[in-house]
Amino acid sequence: MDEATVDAPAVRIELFEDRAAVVREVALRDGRQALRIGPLSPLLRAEAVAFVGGQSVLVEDMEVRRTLQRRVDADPAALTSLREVEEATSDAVSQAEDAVRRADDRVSRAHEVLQAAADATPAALQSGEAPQRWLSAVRRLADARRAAVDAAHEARQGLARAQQAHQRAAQALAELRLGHPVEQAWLHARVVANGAGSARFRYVLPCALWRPLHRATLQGNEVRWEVQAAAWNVTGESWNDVELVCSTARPGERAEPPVLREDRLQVQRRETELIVEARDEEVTQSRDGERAIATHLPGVDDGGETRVYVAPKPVSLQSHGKPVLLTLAELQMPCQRRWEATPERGAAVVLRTRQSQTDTRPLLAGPVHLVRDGESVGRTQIELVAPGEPFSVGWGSHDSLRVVRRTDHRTDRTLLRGTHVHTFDTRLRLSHLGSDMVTVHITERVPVSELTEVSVSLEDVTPPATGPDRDGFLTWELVLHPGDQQTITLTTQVKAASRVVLPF
Amino acid sequence: MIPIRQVTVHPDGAMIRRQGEAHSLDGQVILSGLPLLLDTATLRVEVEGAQVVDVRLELDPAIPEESDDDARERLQVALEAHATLAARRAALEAERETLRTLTPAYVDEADPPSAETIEAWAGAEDVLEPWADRIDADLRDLRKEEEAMQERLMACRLAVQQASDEAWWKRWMPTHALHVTVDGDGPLAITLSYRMSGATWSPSYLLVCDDTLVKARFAMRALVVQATGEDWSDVALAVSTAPCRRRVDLPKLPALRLGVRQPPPPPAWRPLPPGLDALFPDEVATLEPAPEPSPVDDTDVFGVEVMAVADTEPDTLIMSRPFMEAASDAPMPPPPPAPLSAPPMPQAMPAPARRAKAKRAPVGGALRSRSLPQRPTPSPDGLDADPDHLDYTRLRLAGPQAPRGQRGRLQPLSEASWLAEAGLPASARRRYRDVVAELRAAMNRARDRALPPHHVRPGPVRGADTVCRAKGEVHLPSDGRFHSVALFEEPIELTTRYVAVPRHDARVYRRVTASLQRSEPLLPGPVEVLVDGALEITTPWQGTASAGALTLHLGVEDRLEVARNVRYEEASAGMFGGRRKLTTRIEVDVASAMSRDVEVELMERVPVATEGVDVSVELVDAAPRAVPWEGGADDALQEGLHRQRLPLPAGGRGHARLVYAVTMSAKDELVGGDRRG
Repeated sequence: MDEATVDAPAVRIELFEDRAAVVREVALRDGRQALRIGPLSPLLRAEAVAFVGGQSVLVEDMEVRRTLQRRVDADPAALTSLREVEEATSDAVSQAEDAVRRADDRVSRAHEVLQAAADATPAALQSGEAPQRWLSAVRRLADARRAAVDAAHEARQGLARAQQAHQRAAQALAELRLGHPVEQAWLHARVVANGAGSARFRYVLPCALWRPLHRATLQGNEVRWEVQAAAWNVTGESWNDVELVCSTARPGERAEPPVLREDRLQVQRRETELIVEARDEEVTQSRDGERAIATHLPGVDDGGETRVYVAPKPVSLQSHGKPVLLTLAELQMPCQRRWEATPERGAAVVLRTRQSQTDTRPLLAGPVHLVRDGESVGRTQIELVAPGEPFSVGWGSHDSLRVVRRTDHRTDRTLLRGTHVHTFDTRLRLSHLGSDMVTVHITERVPVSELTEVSVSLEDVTPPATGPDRDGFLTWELVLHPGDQQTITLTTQVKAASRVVLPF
Repeated sequence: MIPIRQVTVHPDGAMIRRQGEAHSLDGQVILSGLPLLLDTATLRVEVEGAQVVDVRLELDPAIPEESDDDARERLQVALEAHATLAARRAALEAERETLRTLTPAYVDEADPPSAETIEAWAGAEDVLEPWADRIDADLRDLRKEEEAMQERLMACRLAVQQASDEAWWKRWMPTHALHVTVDGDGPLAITLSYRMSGATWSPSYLLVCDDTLVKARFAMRALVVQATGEDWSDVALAVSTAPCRRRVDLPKLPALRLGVRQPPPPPAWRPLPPGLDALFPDEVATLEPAPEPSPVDDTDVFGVEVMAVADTEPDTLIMSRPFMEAASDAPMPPPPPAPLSAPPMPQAMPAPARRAKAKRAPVGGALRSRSLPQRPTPSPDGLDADPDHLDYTRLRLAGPQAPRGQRGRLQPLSEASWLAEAGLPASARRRYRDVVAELRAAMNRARDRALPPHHVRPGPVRGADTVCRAKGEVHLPSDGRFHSVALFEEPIELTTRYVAVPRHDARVYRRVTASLQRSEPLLPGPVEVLVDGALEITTPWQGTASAGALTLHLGVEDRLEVARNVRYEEASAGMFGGRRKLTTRIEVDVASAMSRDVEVELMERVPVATEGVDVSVELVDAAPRAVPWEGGADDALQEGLHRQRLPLPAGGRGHARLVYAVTMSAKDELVGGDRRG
């Protein structure tokens, strides 16, 4: 059976967190036929290929053959154009060479003629020729020689230029011919088609993936949130105008449940001393815990349910390994904005918005490019935000607001009474160095005890604050005029039984 | 490039604001010429006239179009033109030779020339003369042309030499180009701001008084030094005491709970699914993972820490924080790309458990470790993305040829690839590093430059920061030298007082006070005092925190002299029931040679009884009246200090008296001796 080499254009790409599925469409004749489909990515494996749709097809056997091709063969168009340039420049060189030869001939002819005329002059003048006419003629011959000399040099310059151009073209051609060979894969398949038409086949490749990212634009009291995808491709295949699907599905995850192992018990002496740990607990949102930093960019959590985003327009992805950004979805979220400072975590006053997630899908973790009232302020990141969940975004610090914080810690160990008392004096100074009035919300925290052995009391708060709430947060709302400086003082006491070890 | 309009100098750097017009074409504006070492994390771009879609900072290698080859080509052309000129000259000279042979010769003796022929010969001059003239003129022109060509040839030769020379590279300065994508075409107003390190400032003051110390001018100046690599021409300058910082993220402040440990919350990231390497066909050749290389170079090419990782190219550096300098001031640690096994520290309270362990070791520590077993690390749900990996535009997908464990995974762009993508040839990479190192060294030199005497690095005054703006537009070159900039100046009226501490010093000091219009606190720094046009003293000054009040000491007044005498008396004990009474009498005489009446403030101290000690102190007599005084310049409260105001007539004398008594048990004596005066 004759094998027909066919091209099967990619029609749909599904990108996952570590791989991609490619769907291509191939035209089929009615009946049994042998196909050679390609060129495809060298990462193709025969076991990963499946015919999935279109014309009903029986695949008798399938095989992937890899070819090492010279760059020339892999990119015939580049070769053709380079070769054309090379030929054209080569022609130009031989033309210029001819021109130089002709010009040289003309110079020597003019020279000979002039010489002959000059030699004949004495005799001619003697023999009664009209000297004026004769000499004028000789002068014309001399002019002609001058012109011939100039023309010869111009021709030489033309030749040099043509030679340089040719050299460059030849070098480019040699590079193309001698460059590293390119590996390509071809899918050889023998199929029986039930009628003429087209069939689709699908295969999975590594070296193409996606990650979600975001672009947020704050304008007044509204946030425009664009969910974007960054797509990378180095499969060796370039995909043009394909339907793109970005998914958090994990085709590589194992299918069977994990194995449960026995739990053998052992005992040890109980601890008599109570050790209290200060635990940072964020109340409204996900908390900061102990996390390892991944060496590669990890996958994103999808909240336990596979999320699928379809690109609204056909997309082209070239195999170059650089990210291609595309917008998947756009959301509008009304928000509340205010300047906030948490002096314990830094001197900056940051613009914070609170808004509710309005999509039916969660926002996936990733970087966010921020545009605040027409100003690009940089990049932050978000973690998973569930649908409908309120969340906060920081939009960069105020350039002219500063908070300076100082804490003094005094310890009083009264061993007789069996307690120890820790007193914390905190002093905040706010300075406004700018020229506009700003309202700032300042948050401080006091410890919250979950144990009867430890008690926390708030001794002094000036000026009065809102709180503390049950998570120990105190909030001040201060109006700062240009040049203002304000002070906040806060005194807290932590009392504990002496057998309790406190973390400070 | 849009010009710098405004600069705020902080103690640790400068915030630069550029403002100008630009025109977008196909939704793109490219602003080139931004400094190589600008702090990219602080970059802000504001666009008026369109919406910002994207902002990217790219390297502009600034390698000119005119390369090595071009210079050679131009030399070739010049050489050929020179050859043409020489050939033309040879032809002209040959023509002149020919012209000389164009004479009739008397050949045939039998046939002498006729008279007409002779006349015709004479007429030949009419042709020959202008011809010779033209040849000579052409030759002269040609010679001039040849001289010009010689010069051009030399220039071309020099260019070829320089192109392959260090000289060109010495002037080479790559920059950043900002690519702004907007949603419309047309004219835009763009404002850029970013932080540069390599600038600092320090305040100094000038007090110019007349000889009576009544009328004066008080001026504040800033000594500014910068080596940011950019000259600031005609900018509005401000100086600030606050550190130069910007942050984007919201700082997270979790509740602080004193309780029992809990496992960490679920993270937003999860490990990559397994089985990626199985997707690669066996036939595809990969490179073996290279052995762990020694750190190649940890100079920070991006103004950031750079660390070497396993890679095949020896010069491949991976940026650890590619375009985010750790500018956040919060204790949010820029986490180093730690190996998976290293458990990160809890954030708010550093290592509480560890401290408890240290206090109660070994028992508590041992118990703790058994009763609170360590979670296996890495904990299965404890995975976080490296913040350095979150700039997706700088991530590249490693191809199938990459080593196992890296292929098919996202990698931060290596420095080498970043430079290559920007169009910098591999041969220039070392030079790029040299340029960065040189710029950084210049910045550090400027930052660490020793201040002149009495100058103080500016900082918050009593916890509050201030900002001062310079008058007018300022020009400050990036030369790493100090430049003085006028901040404000105001005429003041001085009130002069004379102060003496006779116990320590027999001299009288001048103190001037004035009230300022300006209400901002003044920072510590040196004051140059000019009295009657002559430099009187340069004195360190603590500044003033209170609004509008100025107090300065101007050194010794020679025309006032102080003499102090102390006498002690001990009263017998019996009548007090076994107690002793020590009386100290301090007498101070002041002589004035001043031409006007003055008042001298005398500072003295009366001892203070310590609480719970059987000693009492009593002020018996004082003339003039002694007023308690709570302390000097520093904030610490002092007890028992008194001051007396003694009026002195012009050229006269004055006398002050202070008497106090200390009573105690007859069996006791004072620590440090009974004589306290």
